[in-house]
Amino acid sequence: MKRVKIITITLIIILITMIAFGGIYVKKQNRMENIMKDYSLAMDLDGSRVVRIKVSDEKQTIIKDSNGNEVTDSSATSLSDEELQEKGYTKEEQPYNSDDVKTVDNYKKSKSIIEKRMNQLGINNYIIKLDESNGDIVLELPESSNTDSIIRTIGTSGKFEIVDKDTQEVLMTNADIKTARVLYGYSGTGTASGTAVYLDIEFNKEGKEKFKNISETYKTTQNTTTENTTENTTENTTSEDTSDATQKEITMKIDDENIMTTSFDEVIENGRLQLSIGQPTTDNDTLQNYIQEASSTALVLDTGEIPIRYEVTDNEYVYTDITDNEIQILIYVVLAITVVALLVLIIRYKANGAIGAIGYIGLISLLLIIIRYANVALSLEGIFGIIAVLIINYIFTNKLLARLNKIDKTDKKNISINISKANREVYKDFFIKLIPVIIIVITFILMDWVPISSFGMTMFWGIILIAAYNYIVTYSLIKINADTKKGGNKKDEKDKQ
Amino acid sequence: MKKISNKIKVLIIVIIILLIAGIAVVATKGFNVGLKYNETKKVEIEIGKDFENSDIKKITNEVLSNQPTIIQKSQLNQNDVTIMAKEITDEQKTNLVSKINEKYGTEINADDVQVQLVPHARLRDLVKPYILPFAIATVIIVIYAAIRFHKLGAIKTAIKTIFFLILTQGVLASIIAIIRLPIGRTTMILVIAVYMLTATGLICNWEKKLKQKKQESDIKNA
Repeated sequence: MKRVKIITITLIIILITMIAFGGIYVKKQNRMENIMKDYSLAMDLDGSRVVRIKVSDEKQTIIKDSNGNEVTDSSATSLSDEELQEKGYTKEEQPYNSDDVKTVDNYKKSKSIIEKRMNQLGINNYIIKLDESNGDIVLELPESSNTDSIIRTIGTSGKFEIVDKDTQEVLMTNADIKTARVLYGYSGTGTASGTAVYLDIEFNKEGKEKFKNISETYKTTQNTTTENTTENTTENTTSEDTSDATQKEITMKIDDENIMTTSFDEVIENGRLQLSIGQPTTDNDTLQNYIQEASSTALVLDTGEIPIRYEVTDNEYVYTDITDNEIQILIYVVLAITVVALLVLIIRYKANGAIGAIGYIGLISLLLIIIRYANVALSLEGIFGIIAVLIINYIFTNKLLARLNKIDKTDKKNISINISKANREVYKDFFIKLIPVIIIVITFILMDWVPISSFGMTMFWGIILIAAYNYIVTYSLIKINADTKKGGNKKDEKDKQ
Repeated sequence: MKKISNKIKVLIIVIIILLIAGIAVVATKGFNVGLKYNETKKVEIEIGKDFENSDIKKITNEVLSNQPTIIQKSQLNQNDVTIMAKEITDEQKTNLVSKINEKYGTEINADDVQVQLVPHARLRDLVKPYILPFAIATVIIVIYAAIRFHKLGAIKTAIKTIFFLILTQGVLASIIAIIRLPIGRTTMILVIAVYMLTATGLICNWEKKLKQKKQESDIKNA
């Protein structure tokens, strides 16, 4: 019976190993398909989107009046050359990035803001390179379904301005923003009801004061009409004067694009400006688009203005330079070392060594299956984690077998108790010494950065398996084998009698 | 004063020499940064056919005089190749294109292929994501060691733990600098491995000393 148990467990381990290394094939549409989930690979093993952004050489058209001052009225750009001449205006082509903006400090500031944006977007694995001679930035980021919108967002200047609509005097800039975020809530007014999305801009202390003054200065005014009636001795005259107080308005611009023009119904003292994005909606896709748009704008405002205008010149997916061949070589080397190590176990500890080897193979197979289904993004550090688990498990198995080897085998009566005691001692001694590794692993799994969390997760599952699997499987097999031998010896003694 | 054995003395001298040599190398030549993170020249060639990286490698070895290169397939159809090397001259670029044309029967014009400069990544940027997790792990390990081995002296244990964790990383950095091991994707793996081994080794050592101390006190009490 006990031999049957050993054989059954061994067969289960063989099955798990076949699944881990081969897969599970089922017939689908007249062909065999592997339904095992594939490994999720990180950037260094899979590939990445490589984007180059260059300092823009583009030029903008500037209209200047006869005094050489820039004409800020947007309608001036649509005037023909003759009309411009009539008004005494001149047209000039000026680069978006003037020479005084193209400095190493500005290049570094741009890189720093782009990094901030990528961190806020949750991009947890990237390489960023800056050419300080010309400001070019090369980014490598992992490919995902929203990589294109990420690329659009991170390169946007994010210039924020509140200007006087008439004089174009700049009243507020990015420097006045504390933070920007997206809010949404149900709006049930009128015909348009549903979830409304808002861009909420909170100003810092100075900005709050400025915004309060602006909302006072640019308050919505009422139209007033006054009647004047004068009488003189010869004739009656009545005249009416109608005067409108001039409505001052502000324009809010993001990246030189007019977002809205408005005046303020009341003085705003809380230092927050809320803009609605789109209309309230019940359609989920539309809502997601609005949230995406608001999130992009909030991100660029929150992280600050990139002082240089960039343009994307290269944008392509590049596969890893680590070839399948190189991975295979690594696997073969690890396999070869593992086989030799397990043979040493078998030679040293004989039957228990064989059991230890079988248990070892089962643990590794189970670990590989768990890594697939636990969505662990496997990076080079993750592969190192797997190798570390192989080493730690080997040390544990060796320790356990060495300790069991010291048990007094002549004491048949207490062999089970002695095996349990030995097992407990090994577990206690081993895992106490493993505490620093456990601390490192737990710290690493809480990190976002993929290479670190990949190592942490593979080690985490490995250590859990070393503790649980070895107790449930390896130790049980050894105990069953010891009991089988005890039973066998009892039978031999009976036969002798 | 505790007697230091000759072996330990030799080890201390070797470590000091390594550290001094390492600092000298870093100060004068810096680290040897691998191609992945170094400033390189890049060419992208649209082969338009399936190819093996190993075949391209043979061509680059021939044309670029066995310079280390990074060869990557690019674009979704994997028919374009990106080749990066420390230096690619226009003449080398022309030769690369002509060899590829010969091998794959293509008619790529060398003038359509540009040599681009890929800037270097700052080592600080590569190390930055690892600083916080290592710092947190170190603090927790030190606190654990101080509490667990308080009988051996909590402060002494804590200081020794920090000292050896930093020392081993310093020695690793020196060795990397001296033997000019390229800083690349495997560097942080080495750092993690050495860190784990040091932390585990220290704890094993303290456990052994604690056990010895316990045995000695048991004997005394007996």
